Amino acid sequence: MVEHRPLNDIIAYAILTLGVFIVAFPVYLALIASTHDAATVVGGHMPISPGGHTLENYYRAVHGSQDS
Amino acid sequence: MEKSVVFNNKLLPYLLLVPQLIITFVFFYWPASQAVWQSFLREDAFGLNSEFIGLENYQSLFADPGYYKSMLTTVIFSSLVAALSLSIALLFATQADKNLKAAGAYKTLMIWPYAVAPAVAGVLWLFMFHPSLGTLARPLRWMNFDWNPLLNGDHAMILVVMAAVWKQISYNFLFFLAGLQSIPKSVLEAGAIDGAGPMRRFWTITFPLLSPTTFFLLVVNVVYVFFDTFGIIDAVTGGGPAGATTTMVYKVFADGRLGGDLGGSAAQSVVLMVIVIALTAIQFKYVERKVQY
Repeated sequence: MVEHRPLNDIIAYAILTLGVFIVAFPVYLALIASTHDAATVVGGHMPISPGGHTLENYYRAVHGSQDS
Repeated sequence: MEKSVVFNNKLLPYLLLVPQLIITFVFFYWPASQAVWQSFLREDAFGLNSEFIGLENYQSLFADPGYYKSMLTTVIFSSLVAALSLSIALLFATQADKNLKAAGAYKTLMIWPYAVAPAVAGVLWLFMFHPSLGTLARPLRWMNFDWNPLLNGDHAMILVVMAAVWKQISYNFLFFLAGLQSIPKSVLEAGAIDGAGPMRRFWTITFPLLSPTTFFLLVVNVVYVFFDTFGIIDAVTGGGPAGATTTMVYKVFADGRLGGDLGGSAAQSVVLMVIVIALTAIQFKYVERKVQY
């Protein structure tokens, strides 16, 4: 760009960070949900950090087991 | 001295066109003509018999208040989605086009949700805003906001619009960014030397020079909201509550596939096809005049 003002860069970074957050958050949440068991997810109190049921969920998804 | 090359073979050009013409015919004109023909028929629920009833399907269609309601829903939905996704994507694209150190990383992070299918996008957003299991619905409830997209039609519409906009942002972002990068820097520098600030440079130089991209995206986005948002609506609300998010393309599916009224559904898809063709023609005739190539 032509002129260089530090404030402009800060605003640009803030807008872009917000944009990436909006764009990535739904997918992040789905990834997190895939690491919890069904009861935690349906209970409506799902934590924002990963849980301990990752392998179990993906094993079931790949093998197509009907019981959940 | 004549230097131009002349191909004397009269047959070859048509032969070369044949593969493309066959594909267009088989996958576009054939199904479309089937839909037009079907719209003049009445079929029984099992698809065993059909009789020709002329324009009766269209008559009952335009006598149905539910159809006008779905038209209004479509107008609200499509204008909201097109306007929001275009303006948000333009905002992000102009920021990412600046000389920032981490611009490359931001561009990549903005583009990848383009790979998410519409139905998956719908499920993701339902997952966040489902009244009982949504992660973001709980804070809303906590703020004493009675959020319930399963019962409240306006909330359902907001949720579907958000999911549809989210899905489309990265596509529009990609094209806006390419459009911005093709604007010659010398023009912007000339504007800056003449004393134009960033905002004035954007509205008097960047925005007009970006108009071919904007026009292209407008056409693509209108087609997107009319047809491709079906997966999102089906996954998030299924057209409900009480038809509040039943757009025209969803009604085609609901009446034909779920309701078994194939003739009426075909009549709807013919009307929808005419509307989209008319919209695209209007855009090319009137909006394209304002485009500066």
